[in-house]
Amino acid sequence: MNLIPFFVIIPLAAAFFIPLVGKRIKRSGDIVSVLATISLSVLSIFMASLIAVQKVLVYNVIRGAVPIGISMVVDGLSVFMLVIVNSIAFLVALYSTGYIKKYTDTWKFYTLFMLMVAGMNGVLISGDLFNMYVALEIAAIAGYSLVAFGIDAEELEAAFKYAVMGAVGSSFMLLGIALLYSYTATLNMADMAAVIASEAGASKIILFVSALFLMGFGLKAALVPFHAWLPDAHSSAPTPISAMLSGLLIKVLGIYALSRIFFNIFGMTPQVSTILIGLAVISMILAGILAFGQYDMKRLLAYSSISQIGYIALGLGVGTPLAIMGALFHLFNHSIAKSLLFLNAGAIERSTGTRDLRQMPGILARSPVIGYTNLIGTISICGIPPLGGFWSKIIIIFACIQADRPILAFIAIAVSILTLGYYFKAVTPILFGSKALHSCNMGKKITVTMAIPMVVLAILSIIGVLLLLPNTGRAFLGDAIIVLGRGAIR
Amino acid sequence: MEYAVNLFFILSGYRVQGRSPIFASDQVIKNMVDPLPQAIVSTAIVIGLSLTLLLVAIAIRIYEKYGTFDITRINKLKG
Repeated sequence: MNLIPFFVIIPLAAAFFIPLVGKRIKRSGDIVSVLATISLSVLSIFMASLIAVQKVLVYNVIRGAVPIGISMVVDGLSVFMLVIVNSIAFLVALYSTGYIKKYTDTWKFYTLFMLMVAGMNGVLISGDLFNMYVALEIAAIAGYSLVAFGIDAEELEAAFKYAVMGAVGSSFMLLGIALLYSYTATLNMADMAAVIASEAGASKIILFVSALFLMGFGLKAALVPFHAWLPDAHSSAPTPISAMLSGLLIKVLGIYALSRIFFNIFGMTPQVSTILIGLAVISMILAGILAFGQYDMKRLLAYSSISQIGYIALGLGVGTPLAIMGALFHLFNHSIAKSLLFLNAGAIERSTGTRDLRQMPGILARSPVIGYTNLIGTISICGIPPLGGFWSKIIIIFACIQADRPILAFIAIAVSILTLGYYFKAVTPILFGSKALHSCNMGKKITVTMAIPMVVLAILSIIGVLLLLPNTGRAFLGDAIIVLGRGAIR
Repeated sequence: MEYAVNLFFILSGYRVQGRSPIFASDQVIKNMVDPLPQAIVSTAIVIGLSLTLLLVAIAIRIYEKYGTFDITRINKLKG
């Protein structure tokens, strides 16, 4: 039996099952979504062990019609992302069971949540370009409505902005797919890569399509000229969704899709590489500076996401195997640490009643669990040694030097100091602030189901370094690097 | 803009004097229209419709909250 379709079947089935029983049985949404995501994460880890041996698994939806039928492909890169997505989705679902009680109609939340997971898994396993687009739209539309879930004025405004910008990005993608289809007469990514590789030299249409895809996926990844929706959407959404958006959605819809297309279909060209590096550098610097001006905790984290996405894009743009390794490892570290920090921000907001850094009452004395997990996440993102964030950043910096681009290495170092600066600004009041507690929210404790995911994520961000060790995690990370390395500039 | 992209996609599969790509055993198909763009565009139209509905729903809620559609006055989020 082939397991690949279950990555989409399980969350879709959960998404259809929850509304059926959700109205009658009160806690059914919690239970079903936690069960579905835990089975997905077990499945993805099992799939990773399969891929370590077999390298590529293909499933054809219609048997015997190989060039025409719909195919699902799992290789080193997809399984790397699948493990990240499904395990973080599980932890976020567990966290939501405690957090989401303040809303009515929680089953709607879980339905949309499972649809978003289904969409992201669909993007990761689809072997043809149009299915990837459809899955991407499922995840994105679920994301738009989840941002608006609380129906406050800010949330609606952010969701509208996000949806309009996302729709524009999707149109660019669809136009790019249409042009590529009329050029190559196929939608299957492997066939498409073969057709494009057989043409001599990069033709003009590929350049034009590259520009369209850079706009479309760059918008989903929130690289700087296209980033305007991200701080609004990520800071207004319910906290579990902020963690999903910042930790996973921008990476799956943006970085994964971008690298899949540019490395594995087109093959990286010097022009695209230059543009990607340019966008990455602007994102890193500009978002880092903008983050300094923020006093809303979640907004600061959102800007930091843009800045860190810049690091990942920089690694991909430089494109040497070492740089790709740095980029993927940074993606891994950032997903974990940023989900942790967003979940943490929700817990802090719940127990202190504010997100404003100027009015923080200091969490470390009140709740050591929140305080220390926050500290670990911050250390990991800032890039203070022993934690993962340090190693991934230093790999990217070394890769820049190795590729003979000392200016990029210098910028990466400078931005990491900038990152340290604005996180220091945030973490001091969060941990040691001395303002009075808001009377309205006095004594609200976080539940155990909220604490467990934060502790697990904190532990993961500490032991994430193990991925770099030979034998243990190398195979897992290494397969993903090999997949991308095939399309790098030679 | 969506409609323009959809139309482009349909036209990319069009052939002059083409016929519909219905497969039957007693017919020899020589000049058929490419069916794939049509299938794709019908999917894209459904996606576009759901997105439009979502946008309209959010817009109605925004009007309830702000009492206006003037984007210069819908500005609670800054920075």
